[in-house]
Amino acid sequence: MLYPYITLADETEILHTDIKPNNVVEVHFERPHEDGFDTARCALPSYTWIKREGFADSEIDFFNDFLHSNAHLIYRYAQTGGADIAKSV
Amino acid sequence: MPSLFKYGGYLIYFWSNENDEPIHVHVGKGKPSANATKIWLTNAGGCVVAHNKSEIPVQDLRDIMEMIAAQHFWICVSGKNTLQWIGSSFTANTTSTVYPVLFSFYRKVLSIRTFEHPAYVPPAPSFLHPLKRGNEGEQHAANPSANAHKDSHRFHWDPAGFQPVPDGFLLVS
Repeated sequence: MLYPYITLADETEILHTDIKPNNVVEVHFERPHEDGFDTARCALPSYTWIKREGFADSEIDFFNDFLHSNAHLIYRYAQTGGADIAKSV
Repeated sequence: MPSLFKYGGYLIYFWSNENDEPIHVHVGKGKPSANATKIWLTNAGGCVVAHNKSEIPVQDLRDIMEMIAAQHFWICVSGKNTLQWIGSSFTANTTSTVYPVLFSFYRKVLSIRTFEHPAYVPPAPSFLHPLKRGNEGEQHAANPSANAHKDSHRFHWDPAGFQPVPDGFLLVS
């Protein structure tokens, strides 16, 4: 199950999974463009990138910083089945 | 008006021509407005409600503030880059009675106690002094590498060690 987290100004949608075995949470970054989507996925808590398509290195660097600042909320919402405020949209 | 992100149907954005104020964002649903709920960013990595003219429900407001605090680092960078924001994030004027009263009001009425970023470490007794972001200096000495330093303070948040800052001085950076 994927839960919406936030949407950045460039329409990059950030979503996360439930907590998987070994306490892993995957965070998905999806940005639409004319031919489909740019996609990146990162597994926490190791911050391992398991998929990268279309995003520039500088964007991945930003996502890394983003994840370090947001991991506490992502884990909380992964545990509770997504943020209530995001689910109500 | 540079938008930052959307969260739960709310748009979080800057409003141009307000760069004579501390760094802040507006929050609202629908058409953006200069009168939408305003949230100041504090130097310590947290945020404070300046006003809630969008009348965002309390629970939503708390979630939004937590989310904004988590984005503190790039909101400040974005503000300075896109709006040429000269000032830094908010630093309390300890001679003013306005900010302590505002904070006290929101804390009591909305039960919002702590807006601090997880990386925020409660200030030492010298909280009236200019910002020292937690034990940054000590950690920096232990980890001279900039990246190692950044990582080292991010997840060493001990909720048990948190002590609410006295009324009126949460905003001190």
